[in-house]
Amino acid sequence: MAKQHGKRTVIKVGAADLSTYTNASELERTADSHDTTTYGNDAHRYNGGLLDGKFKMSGLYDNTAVSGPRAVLEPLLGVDGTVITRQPEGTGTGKAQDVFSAVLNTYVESNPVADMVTWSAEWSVDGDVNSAPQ
Amino acid sequence: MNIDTVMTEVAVLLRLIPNLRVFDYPISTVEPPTALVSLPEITFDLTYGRGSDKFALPVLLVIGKVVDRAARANLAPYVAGSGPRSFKAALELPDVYASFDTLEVQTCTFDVVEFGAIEYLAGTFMLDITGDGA
Repeated sequence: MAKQHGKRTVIKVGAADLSTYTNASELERTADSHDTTTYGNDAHRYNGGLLDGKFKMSGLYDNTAVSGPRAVLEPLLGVDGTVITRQPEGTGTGKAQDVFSAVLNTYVESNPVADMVTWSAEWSVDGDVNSAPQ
Repeated sequence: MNIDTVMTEVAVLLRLIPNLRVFDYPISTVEPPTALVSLPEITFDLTYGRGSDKFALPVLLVIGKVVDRAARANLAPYVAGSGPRSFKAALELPDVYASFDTLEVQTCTFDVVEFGAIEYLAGTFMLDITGDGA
């Protein structure tokens, strides 16, 4: 086992590989917890609840028709069932992978006067995350 | 991006400036006004998967002898934001470059440089160039 560099990360939205337009991404997985503390306990007790998740990605704007981030992402706002594939160590048999369905909640384009145009997108994970290796 | 083709493309456009001598290789003597396209500082991996790199490409403009009273006045048209001799106007052209995506003339700093034991007034333009990493 070894540390991994982020530059090999692969992000696919549906069939579109947006890796070469992306320079940051983050999968946040959370779970509800329910307080089940009763009399006689000296500390809170909890039971696990529903899983949830958010996925964020961002990068450099590119006006490549069809396969660029604007062309791929903007039409997906609010659309159910977009499949996202995240490969945090890059592509390869046995390497880590997360595949999940998600709804695109936010797509932002930012235009600073003295730098490149950038974009960012935030998704809500819909259902389970399949973390079986590649 | 390939530094050879990037430097060549920049030099080709600078040669369109009237009466400006342009070199994209080292020289030992100068006859002002002369522009020297220098080797860049390269920032790799702006995005995942070798999607994008950045060059900080310096271009030295040698304008005249330091003791030449007219040197400052001669420098002005080249550092102007517009006009037939403006570096910004000559280089910041959208969708014309083949070997990279974008070019911004970000800064110009002034110094005294020496060629053949003669001191010249010079401006160094820093070009911010972004293009494909592969």
